[in-house]
Amino acid sequence: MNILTILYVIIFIILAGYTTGEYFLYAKSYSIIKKIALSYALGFGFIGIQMFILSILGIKWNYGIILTPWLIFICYFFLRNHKYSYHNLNILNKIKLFSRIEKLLLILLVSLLIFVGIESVLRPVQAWDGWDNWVFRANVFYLNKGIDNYYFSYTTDSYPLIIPLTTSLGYMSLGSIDDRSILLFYYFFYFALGLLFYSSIRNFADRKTALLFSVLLLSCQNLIRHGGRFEAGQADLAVGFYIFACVIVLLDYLKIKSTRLLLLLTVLLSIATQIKNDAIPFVLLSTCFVVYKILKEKKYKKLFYLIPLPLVILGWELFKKFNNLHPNFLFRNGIEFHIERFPIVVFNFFKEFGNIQNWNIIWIVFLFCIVIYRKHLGTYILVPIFLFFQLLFYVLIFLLLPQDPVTQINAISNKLLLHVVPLAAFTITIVAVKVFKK
Amino acid sequence: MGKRYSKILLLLLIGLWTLLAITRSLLNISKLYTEERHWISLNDEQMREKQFGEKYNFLTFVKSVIPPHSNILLFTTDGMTYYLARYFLYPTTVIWGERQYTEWGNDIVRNYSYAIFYPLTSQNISNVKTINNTNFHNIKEFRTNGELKGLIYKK
Repeated sequence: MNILTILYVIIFIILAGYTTGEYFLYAKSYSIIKKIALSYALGFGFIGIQMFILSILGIKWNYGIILTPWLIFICYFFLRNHKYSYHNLNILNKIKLFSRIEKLLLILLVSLLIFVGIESVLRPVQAWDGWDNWVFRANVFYLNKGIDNYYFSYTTDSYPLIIPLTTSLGYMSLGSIDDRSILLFYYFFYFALGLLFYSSIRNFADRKTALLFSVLLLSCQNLIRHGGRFEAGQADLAVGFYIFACVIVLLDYLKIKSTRLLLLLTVLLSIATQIKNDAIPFVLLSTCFVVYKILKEKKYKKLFYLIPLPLVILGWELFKKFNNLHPNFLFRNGIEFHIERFPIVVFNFFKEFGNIQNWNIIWIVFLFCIVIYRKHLGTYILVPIFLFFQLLFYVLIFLLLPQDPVTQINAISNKLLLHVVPLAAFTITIVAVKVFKK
Repeated sequence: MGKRYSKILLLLLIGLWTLLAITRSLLNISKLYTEERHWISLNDEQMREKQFGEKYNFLTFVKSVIPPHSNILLFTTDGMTYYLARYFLYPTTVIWGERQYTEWGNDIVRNYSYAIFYPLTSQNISNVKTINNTNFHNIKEFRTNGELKGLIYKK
């Protein structure tokens, strides 16, 4: 029963994201699959930010205060647009047109999605970072009906809040803490990533290729683990999902140049900064890139569409300042630059690249594609650039840590690669499509 | 490397990846029967016990003794025990005894009503303990198979 309740909340989150997206943000060319995936990203972020603002205003949370505005907007949207049904969603008829291989791949993909979904709710939270941080904070905020400032002194952490805030909405709908069914929120990042990956490939490749590479990505053991099997309850898959979503929307924006997409990108980047600090280097680079493009086009008015991003970051930074939140735990003992660590750090990352247990051979294929076929990527070269920049930033962090980095790298490199693995799989797909098309 | 060989190599790599992905996906799905059936029959408490072992039993014991919303000190040599205590005992707040000044400084309220020790080292065992200039009296013992594993003291 609890699982069903959480599923309703997730559908509500998707509806909140979908209606807002359709009204203000999505391109008309976006497929319904892509919209559903992005709607989860948007709805999850919007509700988290809403709960954060309510807390700052001193308003104790309850179901009505949080959901009523959304409910009104959703009803208004569907009544105004007369969208009561989707005739083109006759999935069974479409599947009948699939070839035998496509049907097999679809079965495998759906089986993976179902398997990971079942795994996610099979056990109470098991991952260390889950009960130590992300799920724990959801418990605290739910019990306090808002953000409890003593919490920050107590836990000495300063992580962004969207994930624990939105997931605590799940507890509110249950009326109690259930750290098993709440993991569905984390599973849905896996699910939405699959949808977004498939729909993004469909823009330039046939259905068979899109299905194949979606299966290849979603069958990575590390994704399966963070999506549901033992490691659900951590934010790293969400970071990977948001980074991938931002890159896809950025690529779409470069193609279509629509201001709606620019705003969508800004909103997704803003939410990404509040998922986990690890997303910030990517956000900075992509924002610089967008600003450069706007300045180059001399369409300065477009810069206004970027305003939500500094507002969200500034809001969070001011909150940290006023509440005396502790600095990030990695740098509490200061910063020391150890350039001599560079080979060790890079070696350990390469060791993780070769970890077939976690990644199959995705990183080997990716490196092969980059070395041999980078010229085939054209404008898509941005995708591996974002990937390498993000990894370079992590390498830099390990050079700056006062403590010995090797233990840290071994413990977290699989999580760091999770942030960029969708970009790697996407790069491979682009290369494969271009090479085998000829 | 010639273009043709690169193309063949890429095809082989993607083929191998596909093979691995399909095999492992099927293996994963089969785990629903081979591995997960041992979990499905358990309730949440039993699952937590299976995963966290004696630590979870100790924390359940603590929860049954200490009223919620208490403020307690936990002396432990094991980080996992501390973070599990923080998670499972909330809204009771748990401060790590050995690190209370280095980690928290003056940011926290220090009116502890209980002090708990787990796992025990030989020097822990006494009826009265003086912590932060306050006396705490032993009120409960946690034993596994007759062996003393943890102690709860009250102010």
